Amino acid sequence: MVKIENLSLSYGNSPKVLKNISLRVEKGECVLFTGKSGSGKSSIINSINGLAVQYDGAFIEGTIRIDNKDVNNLKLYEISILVSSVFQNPKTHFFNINTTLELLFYLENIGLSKNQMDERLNDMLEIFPINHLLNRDIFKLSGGEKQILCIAASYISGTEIIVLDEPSSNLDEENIIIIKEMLMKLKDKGKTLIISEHRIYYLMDIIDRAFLIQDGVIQREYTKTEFMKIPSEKLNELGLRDKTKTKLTVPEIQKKGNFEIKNIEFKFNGVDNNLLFKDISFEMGKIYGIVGTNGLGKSTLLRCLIGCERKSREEIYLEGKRLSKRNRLKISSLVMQDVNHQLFTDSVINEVSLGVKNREIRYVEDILRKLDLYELKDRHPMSLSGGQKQRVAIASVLCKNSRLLFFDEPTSGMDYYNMMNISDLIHECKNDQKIIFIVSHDQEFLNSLADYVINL
Amino acid sequence: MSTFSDNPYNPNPISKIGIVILLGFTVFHQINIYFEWAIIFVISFLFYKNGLKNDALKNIAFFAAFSCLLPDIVIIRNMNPFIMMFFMLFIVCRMIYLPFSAGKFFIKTSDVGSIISSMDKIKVPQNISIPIAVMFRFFPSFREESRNIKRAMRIRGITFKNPISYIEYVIVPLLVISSNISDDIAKAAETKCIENPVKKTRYLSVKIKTVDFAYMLLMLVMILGGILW
Repeated sequence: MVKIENLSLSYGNSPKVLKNISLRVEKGECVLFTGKSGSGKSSIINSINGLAVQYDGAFIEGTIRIDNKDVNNLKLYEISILVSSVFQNPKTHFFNINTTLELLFYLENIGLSKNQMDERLNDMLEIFPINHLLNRDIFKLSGGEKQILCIAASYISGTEIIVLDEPSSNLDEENIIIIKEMLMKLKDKGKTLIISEHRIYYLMDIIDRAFLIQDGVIQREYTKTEFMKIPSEKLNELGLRDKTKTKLTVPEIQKKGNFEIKNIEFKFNGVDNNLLFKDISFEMGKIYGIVGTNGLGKSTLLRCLIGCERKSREEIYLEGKRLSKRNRLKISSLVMQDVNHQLFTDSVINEVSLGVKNREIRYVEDILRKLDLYELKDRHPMSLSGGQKQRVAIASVLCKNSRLLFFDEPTSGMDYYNMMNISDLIHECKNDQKIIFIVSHDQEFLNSLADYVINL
Repeated sequence: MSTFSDNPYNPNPISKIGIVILLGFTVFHQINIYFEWAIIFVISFLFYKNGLKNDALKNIAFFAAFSCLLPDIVIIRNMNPFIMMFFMLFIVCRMIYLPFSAGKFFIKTSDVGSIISSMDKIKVPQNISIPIAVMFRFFPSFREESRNIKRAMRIRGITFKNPISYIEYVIVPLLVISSNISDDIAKAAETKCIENPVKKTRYLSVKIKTVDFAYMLLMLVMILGGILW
């Protein structure tokens, strides 16, 4: 049982992120915290598992009691004996390199004997048949497989309470369904689930109650039936994604256009199935979505198209002329999923003009204004917020004025409001001298933006 | 990288660290070239047997390049200072090559779990073994992330033509990402109760195998032989 009383939370001198939160979660219940990005829903999760105070330096008033123990007086390992956590980005979840050892790592640390570990492992395999994920290298799992492993690890640890922070945000539809089934099984086993999420359709059959968080306060508490009755438009207004599964309404790609791919071939290391891509052509001025399950090689395809994949072989033509890897690199730009990888300089203005030749400063400033970055032009890019960083990366792509623009999962983890902003931004990049490619599993996003999709 | 624990040709992390330290002596005391070659071949053989064929070949090729192409230190001493500086850099690489190579073998073929278990075995206290394990876990993540950064730089058209700004551009994102990685690893470890003071158990116990004796003994013979020859 989790009992929160008058919880307020702040980081340093900035305004409070959470104000006077009071609630109770009973044993075996499944509770959803939902709301816009930045509403404070993840902070509630992180104050329950102790990370907010012990890692992010948050200051807490009020009390959080788990099984009548005050979290403030517990060490992180003592909290972890009561609560397991599943993070937003499964990449950050693992300590071991080997998957089986990772599953057992917690059990080793609480001092179970080898027999007990085997028992727990077998018990887990009975509910979650994930034999194919055992004894693998964590770096070679897809995002979906990693998240499945995280949830399995939360079960094997045997804690009664599991907190999950936007578990679906890096996953495609198929994996979200798997996660949903796993959560249902956990609930059947009597686990208490506390979830923060703004993509809510997959949770509708699981939750008992939902709390709408706005600006750090509980705006309203809903029972499941009340929550189901909220119309979709209202949800979008609140920054939430749809509560039913969205269907992709974008048509499949048609064969015409003057960016022609005769052939792309890429051999994955040690796997039999290769990436093969043949006889497809793209039209200038269009936006193409690239979809497919996690781990099919969407990102690899992007790298092959851009020309930064050494091991691939390809035959690609633009307006009848064959393009080498080097030619393509020159006319391509990429906005990566983690934009921290692509911010290099010490100020926003230097960042966007880096590698750009013969552009008037006015042009650059116009782009900054359009993206709301002009005021920040002398700031260090790394000191900006996540959304601002992403806009800087997009601005730099726009300044380079490439003919091929690539976006790798631009909306992962975004609420409805931020997703629509990015969608509008990319829409503005569109002109008849450019082709835009977007790798994404976000169907609502692609529906709002893409002209065609390619299904890998 | 996978668990190599069940591979009979993969020595215990302790032996591997021991060898790195032993080979450290060769930096201060040059040993006979034939014995050096023997050491290189032993390491390459182990690379090969642990499924790292490329590394086995690279190991030999680099050493061949260093030992055959570099002029003798006496000739370098009489060179123009700038050329001398250039060659000295390679001389230093050559000097640390043996321990470097053994270190690379250690890093590429050991997993965090077996390192912690083997440190437990020789009773290293937790406040030393945990930071070492975290440090160790840092490398593979770091490699993955720096690959992404390099890729981003190529697409942005940042090349090595201007080395100073190139280095500046690499370092900024690398520092930020390194600090994120270490935070994430520490969080992952702490939420898995790594600091729990109870007596820990290990699923895989790290055994001392034949290969450990063979590896240690061969290296010891080679180093002593190389010094005494």
